[in-house]
Amino acid sequence: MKISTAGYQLKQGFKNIHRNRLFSIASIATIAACIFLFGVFYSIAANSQHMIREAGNKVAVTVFFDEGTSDARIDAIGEEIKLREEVDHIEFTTAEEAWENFKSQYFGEYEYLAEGFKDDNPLANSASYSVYLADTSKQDTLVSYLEGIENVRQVNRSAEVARNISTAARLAGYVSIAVIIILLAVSIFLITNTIVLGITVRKDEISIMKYVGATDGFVNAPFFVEGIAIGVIGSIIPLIALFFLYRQIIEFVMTRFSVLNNLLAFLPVMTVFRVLIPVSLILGLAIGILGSLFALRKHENV
Amino acid sequence: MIIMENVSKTYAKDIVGISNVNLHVKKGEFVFVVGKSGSGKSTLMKLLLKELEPTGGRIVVNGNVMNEVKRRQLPFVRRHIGVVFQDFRLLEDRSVYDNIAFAQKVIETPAKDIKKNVLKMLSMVGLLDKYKANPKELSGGEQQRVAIARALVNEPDVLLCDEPTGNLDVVTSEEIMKLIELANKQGTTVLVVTHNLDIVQQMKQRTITMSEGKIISDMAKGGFGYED
Repeated sequence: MKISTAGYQLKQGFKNIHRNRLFSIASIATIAACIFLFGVFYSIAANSQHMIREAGNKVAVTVFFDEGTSDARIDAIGEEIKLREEVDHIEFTTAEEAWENFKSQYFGEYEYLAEGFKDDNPLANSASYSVYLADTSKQDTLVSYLEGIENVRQVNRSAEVARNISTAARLAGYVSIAVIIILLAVSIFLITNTIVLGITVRKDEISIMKYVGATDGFVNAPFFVEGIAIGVIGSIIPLIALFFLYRQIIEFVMTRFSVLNNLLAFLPVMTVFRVLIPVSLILGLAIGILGSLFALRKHENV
Repeated sequence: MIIMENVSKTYAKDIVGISNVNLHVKKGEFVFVVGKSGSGKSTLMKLLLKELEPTGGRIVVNGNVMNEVKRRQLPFVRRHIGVVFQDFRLLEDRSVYDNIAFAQKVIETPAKDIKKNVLKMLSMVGLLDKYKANPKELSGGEQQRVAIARALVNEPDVLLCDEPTGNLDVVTSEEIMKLIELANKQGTTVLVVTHNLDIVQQMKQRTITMSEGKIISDMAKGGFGYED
């Protein structure tokens, strides 16, 4: 295609948008809403995943041993656990360290109250491994494995927090997919109608084009330009809005609720947008192309 | 140039458009097709443009067997056929110049040639001074001149005119027919469907008369004496 022809097609495409500006605005607004919601859900999902990973690093499964298990056997168990793919890393706590931790946690400044146990460590058999998970969703598999190891007396699961976060994230994922699918369908329907309107308005022009020998590609190109432009504009607007909103929300939460700083580990804005920008643009583009295709297929014999 | 062999077109509910039409138009010939409303003239035009598919027979235009022309080939076949309509069909959102240039843009003529060709056509139809005007600002005759310029700017081998003087007064009709005759003298094969018998008698060209979907007479150049 010649450059002058491409220029003509582009001009006609934008003219179409201008001619049907009300419908074009409605289409852009719907696509923008769809991609905005997609962006919101994606940000939530990405941050949830990130927080789950962080939580996984903070909570651990604790493994205790049978009374009288030798140090060599405990070391061997440790080596065995480390080899598991669910495991990120392990930490060993001796019985003495366990007692020291207990004392500082429960007696605090009244540590003298524990003087009676001075030479008789009540947690003598409480040496343990804290096993940190690489993937919290695999906690059940790991616990069953650990319980099956010889000389392992007890396995304490980590807090239920990780599991709850996982479930909540999964649920949010399902809801977001459903909402996005509905909005995608509405976007494609609206963009199809906008382009159909453009075709109807330009019916005479199209019929003259065909009489003088325009190819289908020449006739259809401006409508593809229209659909793609609407799709891309509809994805750029929410990206800009989300960029500023995301930064503002993180800043607001971290400054107003500084107590949550240790609990909530947000992803940096650029990490989220490195994925969100290309995915949203491709989504907008795909909606535009699909809408144009449906419209042109309906009216190919103008 | 135009060949129709036993061509028939039957619409839904067995309505006959044309029936067993045989027609041969030589290269460079000028032919009028006359007949009452419903005689099949418009169906014949649409078949030549492949707007309609025949239900029987064979149609050849410019060496292309229209029955066998595929959808993707049709634009390239139509580039050699100019069309003029009774209602001009000009685009009112652009100037006279752009209406003619549009036909060249569609076939991707190089930009430098478009200007030259459009000005040549405007000069031929006598509208050089009105190239900036909007079609709505022109008289019916002037609009039809623009439509003729648009139909001829791509230098078609065949010019099909469907009632080109249908909306025009006598004097303007004569002017329009002179333009069409000029195109014919320059080598374009012309087929004009019309009701205007005065024009037909005056121009003394080959004239085909249709009635109820059939050709009922085919008078050679100078031989037509049609009575309604």
